[in-house]
Amino acid sequence: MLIAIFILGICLVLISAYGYKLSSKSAVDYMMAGRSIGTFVLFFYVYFAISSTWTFYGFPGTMYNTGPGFHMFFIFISFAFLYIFLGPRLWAAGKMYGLLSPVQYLGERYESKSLQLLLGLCLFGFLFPYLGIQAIGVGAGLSAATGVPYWVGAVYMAVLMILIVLIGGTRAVAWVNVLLGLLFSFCFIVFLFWVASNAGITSLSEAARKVVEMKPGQLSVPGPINKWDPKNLFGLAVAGITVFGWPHVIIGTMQAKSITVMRKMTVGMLAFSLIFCGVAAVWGLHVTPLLVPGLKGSAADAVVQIAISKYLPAWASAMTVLAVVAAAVSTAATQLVVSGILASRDIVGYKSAASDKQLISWSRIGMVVAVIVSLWLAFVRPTELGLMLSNIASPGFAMWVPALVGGILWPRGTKQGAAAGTLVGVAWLIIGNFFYKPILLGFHPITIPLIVNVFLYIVVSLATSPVSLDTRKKFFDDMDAWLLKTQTEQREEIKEAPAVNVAN
Amino acid sequence: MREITGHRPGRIFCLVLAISIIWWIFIVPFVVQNSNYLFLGWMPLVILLWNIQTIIWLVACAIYTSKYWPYR
Repeated sequence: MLIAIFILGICLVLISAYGYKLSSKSAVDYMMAGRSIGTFVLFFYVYFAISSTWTFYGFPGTMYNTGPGFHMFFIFISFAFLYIFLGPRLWAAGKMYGLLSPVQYLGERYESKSLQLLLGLCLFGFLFPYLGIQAIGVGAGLSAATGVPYWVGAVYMAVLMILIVLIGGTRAVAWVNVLLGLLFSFCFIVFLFWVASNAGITSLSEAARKVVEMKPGQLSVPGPINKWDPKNLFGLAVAGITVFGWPHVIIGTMQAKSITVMRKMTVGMLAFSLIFCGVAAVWGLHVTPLLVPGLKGSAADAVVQIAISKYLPAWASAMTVLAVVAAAVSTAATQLVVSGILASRDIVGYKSAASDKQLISWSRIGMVVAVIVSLWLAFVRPTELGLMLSNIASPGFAMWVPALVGGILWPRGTKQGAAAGTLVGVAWLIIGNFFYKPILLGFHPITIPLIVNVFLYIVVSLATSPVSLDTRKKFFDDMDAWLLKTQTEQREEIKEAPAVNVAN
Repeated sequence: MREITGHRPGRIFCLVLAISIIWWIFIVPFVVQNSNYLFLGWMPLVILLWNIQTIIWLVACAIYTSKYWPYR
């Protein structure tokens, strides 16, 4: 199995090298895949950017521990909001003005390079726990499947991440995600039925009855350890709704080929989530509690792997580890590309225009720093895998959401409002999570910081001067007019095309 | 967003989504508490509501973005 995993790693690095060979070596191509990603590739790029070891291990593992309430976190309506309400203007900004990231967009829209730097640093920082999850997941999975020490998988993951993104860039990462996504989906969905069959689980209702007998509260809210009271569920729901603010998710809007791609993505993501999240729920609530009882806390992170190792042949267990490595690589690679963009365009290069060569170099340095810090987090392992995402990384990403949504939709939002809200929100979140919990008032970590953030953003914006009329025209009126014009022209062309064919 | 709220189908679309978000964030956390209901004998109430919420958005988005959205 270790050899198979090593071979997978070599294949991925070779794919990356091939992708780089085909690219134009410009910053736009390295970071944005030339803004040419179509629906099929973008779907897998985004879906498997978020379907990481967390999806395979953490999501079912946390439901195993805490019950179905946790399902509220992973809701895909957030993507619909992104692609319909925010995506078109972000996409237009890339096409019209050559902008390379949503943070750069906000820097110009708010007329503030300092704000651009602040937002870049915040997002860069909160990518670390999310990256750390991938190393943790691979370490835990490899350990559960093969018995090797946890650190072997974590270090392997780190080395692989570095090689793929340093060599390949965004275009290679997009391809890698398609291939790995297919492997991941196959294992996640097909193996559930196979394990259930081998274990003699033929009826979900019968499984549900047994699970409830074994572990009261397992299929209800607040759950077997009373975790999901209304306060916590409220925060979890908000954290789930703000997933569109994850930098590796939102960047896809600027890499898409067209608005049509975003429209199809909306429908595709929502439809597929019904199957995908349903499978995760059955793993975590019905199958693994019956087949692998008695685990607690972070030990449950590998419960799916343990069930597969116990009930399926060795090759299936090996394939699962490969699929988890695949999921981790796809997510980590996407996040690293984004961390590179944040580091080069929004942090180092925030003040002045840099050459393509400089942007790519700084991008690579940013990625290496991100991997090293995430590996450190993997060794420290502050909490179980599922909660590292829902309670630390996701709330952290949510702290730029008021500035982001206001920046795109509300002309009256100002840089002072955005800065005040973001700074206070992030500080409140960090202090509440790690130093003084009472300031969270018993709610999920996202709740109070986000409420304070939104309040400050609105109040301080209204108390300060708006951006210049020229900027408002550039980011609102001109963009809307351009979008309407280009989309109408495109529709007319499509209508005329069959008529022209018939005439000919 | 102005292109959506600038016409009647868009305003209806926004209203449907807004009501569903308010329901999801403010009401569902209370509705699901201490319920032992299992749809079809196995699906917990919170997951049933999750599925319904997703289907509402799927249908609303599919209809609006294909027939009415100015950027379609």
